[in-house]
Amino acid sequence: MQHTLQLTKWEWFKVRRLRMPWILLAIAVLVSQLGVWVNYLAFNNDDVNILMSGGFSSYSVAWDEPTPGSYTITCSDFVNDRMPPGLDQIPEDRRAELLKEIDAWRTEGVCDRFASRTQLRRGFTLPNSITQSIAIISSFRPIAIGPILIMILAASIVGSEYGYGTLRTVLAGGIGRWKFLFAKMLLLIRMSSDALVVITLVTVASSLAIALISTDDSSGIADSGKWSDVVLIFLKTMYGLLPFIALGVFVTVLTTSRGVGIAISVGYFILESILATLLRLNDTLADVADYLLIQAFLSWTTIPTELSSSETLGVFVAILGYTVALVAATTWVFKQRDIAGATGD
Amino acid sequence: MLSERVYRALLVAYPRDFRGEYGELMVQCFRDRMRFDGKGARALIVWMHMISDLAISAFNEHAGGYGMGNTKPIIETDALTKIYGSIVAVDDLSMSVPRGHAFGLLGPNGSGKTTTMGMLLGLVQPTSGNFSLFGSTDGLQDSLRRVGAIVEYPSFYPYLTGRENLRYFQGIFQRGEPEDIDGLLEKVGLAESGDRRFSTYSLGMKQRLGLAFVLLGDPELLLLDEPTNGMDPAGMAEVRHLIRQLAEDGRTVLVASHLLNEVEQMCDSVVIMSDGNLIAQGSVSDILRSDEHVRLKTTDDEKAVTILSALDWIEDVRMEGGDVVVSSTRDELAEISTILGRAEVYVIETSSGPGSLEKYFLEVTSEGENE
Repeated sequence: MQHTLQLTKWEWFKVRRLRMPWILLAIAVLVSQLGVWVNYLAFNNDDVNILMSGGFSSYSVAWDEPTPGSYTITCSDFVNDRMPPGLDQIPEDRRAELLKEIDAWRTEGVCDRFASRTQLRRGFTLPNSITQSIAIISSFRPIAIGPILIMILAASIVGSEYGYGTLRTVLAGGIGRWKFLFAKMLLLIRMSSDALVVITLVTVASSLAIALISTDDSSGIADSGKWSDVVLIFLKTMYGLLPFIALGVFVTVLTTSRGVGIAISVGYFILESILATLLRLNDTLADVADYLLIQAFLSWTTIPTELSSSETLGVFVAILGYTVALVAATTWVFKQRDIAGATGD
Repeated sequence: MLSERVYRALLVAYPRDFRGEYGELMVQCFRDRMRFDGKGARALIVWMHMISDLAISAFNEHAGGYGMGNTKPIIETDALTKIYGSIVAVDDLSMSVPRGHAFGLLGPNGSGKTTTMGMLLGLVQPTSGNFSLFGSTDGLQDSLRRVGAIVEYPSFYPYLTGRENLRYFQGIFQRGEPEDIDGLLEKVGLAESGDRRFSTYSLGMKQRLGLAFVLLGDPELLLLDEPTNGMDPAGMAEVRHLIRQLAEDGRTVLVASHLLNEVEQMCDSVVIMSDGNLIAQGSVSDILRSDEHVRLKTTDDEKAVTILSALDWIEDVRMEGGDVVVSSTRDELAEISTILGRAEVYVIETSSGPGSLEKYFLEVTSEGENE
């Protein structure tokens, strides 16, 4: 085990010189910070909030008697429990019509996608900004960008050994095959956790920067969410990424190619979403869809959780099962295979 | 019990075996008036094993004289076979490589040399058969820690420099010390370009880095696949010299090559492979001796051929390029001349030449094909 940890250290010595991990980290950081800053902009600008919510919802009433006038209420007013001034000037019948419409909004959830200022504030103040940043890169729907990035990284790191032909050089020196594989997987786990730490630090910096530039006292720095949620999302994301690391390594070992490994890894996301949609068409099979790899990951990393404790356990076991099965399959395939020279991929 | 004098003598005779931590401890133990306790006792046990091994190998060498069968082989294969689908890459290969020699694995491209090396290094799973490294058939990973190998061509990380590549492999294999790297780069002529990225190296420089790599940690056994491939003539000569030097220092070097001249110059013994089969095995000197010949111009070449063909101690007589070519040594020339003279055939001109591995190789490979 000590030698495997030693190998992981040396893997890092080598991998840090590659461009790919840094590019992927930059993408992850950018995506995560997008959430923080967009929330801040939306907090200060309704137009951004409307854009984020996917459309503009408003209701207007107009009248001619006794004097012509009009009154408009938007989702922003609605979710923030504020009525624009001038409500008392609306004629009786038109006011009843307006209140009826607002009731309908409430019933139909017209403004559900429209974030309140409280919600927006949670997106850029500590510690919830961290929870949200990690959640965005791990389980931002409809694409789970975290799993995609880690699979690309896994395929890249393992595939390059085939491409350069260095796998031969390493294994011919007496490094056991399973040790080599586990060192790679440990490295990927370490890199994932390092990436989450970087995202956390950058998010803290962003929240501090927002607090400094904000002229609005209500922006503040901290008082949203719980710090325990930060730890929870960190651990859950790390656990949830394990099967994706294993899947990326498995596909690459199977195909002995970095390019094919990346293509299949990304293709899997499309395939699984199609499969999940098809399964959900059938009532009996709909439950199966919840336990497909990506679906299980998305449910697992949602905070606060929408799952019951038994569903949580089920998803936990599913993720563990995928990880164990993929690691076992990878080890088996890798041990059976002859190691050829450089593939040049 | 050992005396310090015996120890010193062994240290001089076998500097590679009697050194390191245990060697130092032994010196301390002798200085402390033979008090062997704790680590010293363990050192003594290790030493006793070493001495018994040395005694056995010395006995083997002196009792049996020189010969591959008389030296404990460092590599031994037994009916080693590798089949890819319908292609037999290596067929029933049984060979043994003696310790402390430069050993050639000779054969044309596609003869199974690289596959054989791959099997010895655990990269290729044999279809059947066994092999041993350092006399052990199991614990391949442990054995490989004592081996420096390059298979097919030197493969390193293109985005790292030559020095960083060596540092990485030194670290993961835990061979030698980081301080050794400068010396190795200098030894292979890469001292100036050690800090350049591997991707910018020429093929010859890559081969040189490969040689520095295999020397990391001073391994006992080196497996080199076409080590001079892509090198300029000066580089090739340097590498040949280096390999000879390594063998003379007591290391075993197995060189796979299709360059007959190269193997002839570097190696003490060879195995010749063709189409996955072993077709000949022996020491280079024996092979060259077997191909030694004299060329004669006589007053009657046809009669000379008839007379010499009748002699049972002459293996081969033929006409070649207007000369009579006799498989014989120069020492036997006087006797040949006398015999011919008695039959009134007189030798006008003579020349002699050593055998060549190339000719031998072509002969044995064509025999194999004819069979």
